[in-house]
Amino acid sequence: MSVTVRLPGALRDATGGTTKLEASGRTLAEVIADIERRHPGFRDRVLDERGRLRAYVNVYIGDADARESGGMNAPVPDGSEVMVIPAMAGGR
Amino acid sequence: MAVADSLSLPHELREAIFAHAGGSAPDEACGLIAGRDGVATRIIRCRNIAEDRPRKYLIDASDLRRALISMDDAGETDAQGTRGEPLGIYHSHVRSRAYPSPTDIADALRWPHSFYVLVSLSEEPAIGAYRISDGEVIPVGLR
Amino acid sequence: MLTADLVRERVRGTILERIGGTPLIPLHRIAEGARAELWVKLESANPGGSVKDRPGLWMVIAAEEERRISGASVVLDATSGNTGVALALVCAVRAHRLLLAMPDRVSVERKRIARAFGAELVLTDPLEGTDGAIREARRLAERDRRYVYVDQYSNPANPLAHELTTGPEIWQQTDGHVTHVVAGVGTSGTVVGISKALRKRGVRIIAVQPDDALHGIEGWKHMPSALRPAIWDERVADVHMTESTDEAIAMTRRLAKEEGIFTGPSGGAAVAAALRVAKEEQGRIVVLIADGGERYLSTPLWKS
Repeated sequence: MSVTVRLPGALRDATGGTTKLEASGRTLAEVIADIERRHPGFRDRVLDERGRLRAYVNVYIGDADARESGGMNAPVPDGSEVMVIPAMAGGR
Repeated sequence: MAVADSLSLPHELREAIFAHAGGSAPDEACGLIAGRDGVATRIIRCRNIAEDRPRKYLIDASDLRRALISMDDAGETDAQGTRGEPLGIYHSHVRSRAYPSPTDIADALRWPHSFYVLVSLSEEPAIGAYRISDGEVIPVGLR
Repeated sequence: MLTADLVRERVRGTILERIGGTPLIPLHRIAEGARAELWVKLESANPGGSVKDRPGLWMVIAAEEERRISGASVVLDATSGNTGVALALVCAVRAHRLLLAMPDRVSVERKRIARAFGAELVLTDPLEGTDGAIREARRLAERDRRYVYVDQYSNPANPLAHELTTGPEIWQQTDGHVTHVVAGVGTSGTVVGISKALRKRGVRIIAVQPDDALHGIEGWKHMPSALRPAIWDERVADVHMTESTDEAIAMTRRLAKEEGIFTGPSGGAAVAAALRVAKEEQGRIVVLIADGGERYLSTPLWKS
């Protein structure tokens, strides 16, 4: 299962400068593991020590929020686009 | 890769940001600024889904995703010239000045390559633009 | 390049000065239960009775400024009706001869009004619709150089009129609080022009088309099956929706009965689409209502 993963500029340094890469995996967990194999350290940027998505990291599989389709077990259909989007926030 | 150190924000876009801010009060308004080569050409209003909207903003992730895709499609770039990233991120401070708060500074770590534009509904100057890098606020020229 | 000030200057002291500046009316009963406010921009309030008064005026003034119109000239265009009336009104005031190519199925009111303003009509095969009229106009323009074919489907003065009048009016009338604009696509001038004025200010642009090639929403184009206007570009809109003729007619009747707004099928279609958006999203939605119901009195729309 091959998917395209789009990463924000803030994660560029974790993947040697790439913001768009191919990855394989049937679930979100597998896709992240696949990227980690090629770019060690990537996993820690998006997952906490318990292996769950960090609170301020959103992941979209197609146009669906991964948290609403199974989280780490969310299925990633072949050919789909996975987008990692850090939360954009602030306050006074 | 071109690095823009000042932001060109045309009058009609500033006016639109103020209109959004005024219309959202008492909640903070938030959105994105898209453009190229340091020149803003449009703004994208986003929904603020923070729990405490008069004091915080959290941009709705689906609005953000849609905006990023639209910027990528249009070839728009951030302050460093990277395609598909926001040139700027704007939000309003309802009761405080148009300067990044400690919360703003901390949260900016996740989007370090955009200009941060703040507007204030209560204090002058009513608008300011900044880069926020590694916890440091750098005021930039607003043309 | 035309500006709103220049156009206003040219028509000062005539009825053409009343083109534009149309009212913005909020909907109440129809908008009940919606999350967003729904406002209609009533283009039927234009002196020629439709939104087309704007591009009609701007295309003729542009042709005058470009010195394309002489004493022997005949202004020419293909139209499903409203543009014909608008051009007829403008040409009456500006003292130009006018020939309109119109499909024979267009309502009798439109034909009579155009003739009342002094326009001559060439009626084309109703089965070929507006595209048949366009082909006829092109044929005539190629054959005879006296024709000044303003060609609303390709003329940049069409969207320009909306970019410099309709769009800014909506912004000013809502104090910049408009969040969405919903408009139907015919020549596409309205959507293209309003998008140029407002999309950069963060307003979401929603373009609506009929859901079928054989539709009854007079003035609108089912783009996939029709001759594509040169001025159209899908990318100007954030969202593309379609509306059925049945929904359009139902809403047109509701607008009259529940809001006192008397419009044609395209007005109903635009409001029906806008209501669907208003149920999902928050904000202030402005819907373009292109013309008034009088033009359709002879059609089944108002036969109870």
